[in-house]
Amino acid sequence: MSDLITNAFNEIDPRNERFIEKNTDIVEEIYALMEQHGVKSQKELAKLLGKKESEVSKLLTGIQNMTLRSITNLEVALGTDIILTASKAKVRFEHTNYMICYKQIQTSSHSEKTSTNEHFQIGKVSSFKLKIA
Amino acid sequence: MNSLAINLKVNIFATIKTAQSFNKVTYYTVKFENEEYSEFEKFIIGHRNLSEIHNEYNDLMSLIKRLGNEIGALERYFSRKERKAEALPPEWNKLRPHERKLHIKYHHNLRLYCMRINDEVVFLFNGGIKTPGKITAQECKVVRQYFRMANKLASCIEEAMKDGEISFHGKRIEIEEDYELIL
Repeated sequence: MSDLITNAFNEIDPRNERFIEKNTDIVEEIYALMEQHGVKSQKELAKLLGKKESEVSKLLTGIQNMTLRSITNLEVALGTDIILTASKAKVRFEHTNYMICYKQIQTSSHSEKTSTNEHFQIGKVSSFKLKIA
Repeated sequence: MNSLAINLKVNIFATIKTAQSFNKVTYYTVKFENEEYSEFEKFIIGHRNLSEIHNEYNDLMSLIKRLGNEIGALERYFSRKERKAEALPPEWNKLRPHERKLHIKYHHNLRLYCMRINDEVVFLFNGGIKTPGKITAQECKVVRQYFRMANKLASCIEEAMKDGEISFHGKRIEIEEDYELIL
């Protein structure tokens, strides 16, 4: 591998790198939501949006500067949020499915055998402590 | 007076080089015999310091890195629809699907020509700043040369893959050590 290329990737403007990271996160989220909602193609999504397929294709390049309006239009078309502010996300995901796993491993000094006790609990809480035994 | 046309067909040799290997994608490039830099290196050298395309260049490099590290070279990030929209020449349509994916899906004027093999392997060639307006890559005096070269290289690579001279195992390329593409 050449140092010139490695350096070029290391020297990318962090603002652009962040922009592409956010942008591709949104695009990947849109594709995941399309799958969840049975929207099979960009053509179908374009139909839901009342736009041309080429316009939708352009939006989903991962590099296009999507406006808040185009994101919210997509949210309406897909019937769900694509992006959330941190505080709204906190409220929405305050009640989280959780699983607590207690695992106890005992090794007998007289033998090489190890005994393991495992206990699983699944439910819903506002907050929890993870106990590692 | 009779004239004699002599067709001097000179072979050009190129070697395949690893451009950059990321978690999910290895990018390859080619380097022509007797040239100091590979095609992708020439693209970087030619564009990295141009202030007028600062965002375009950095966005494009970021996208390559992001696909490489996190997402993979998924087909949806490589477009041929864009090419159709640009009314590329008829012979383009005769190429096989993966030869046609020569252009990263990027709706700005800076063009980097590439060839996506699969989700883990992409060849990066050279590119340039396409003249704005509704003209094809073939009509643009700047990118025409890169577009044509990318086509030639893609055909060569495709041929070598068909002949079993090049194969890919995951991100890794399998070729003989001194293997050269002949254009």
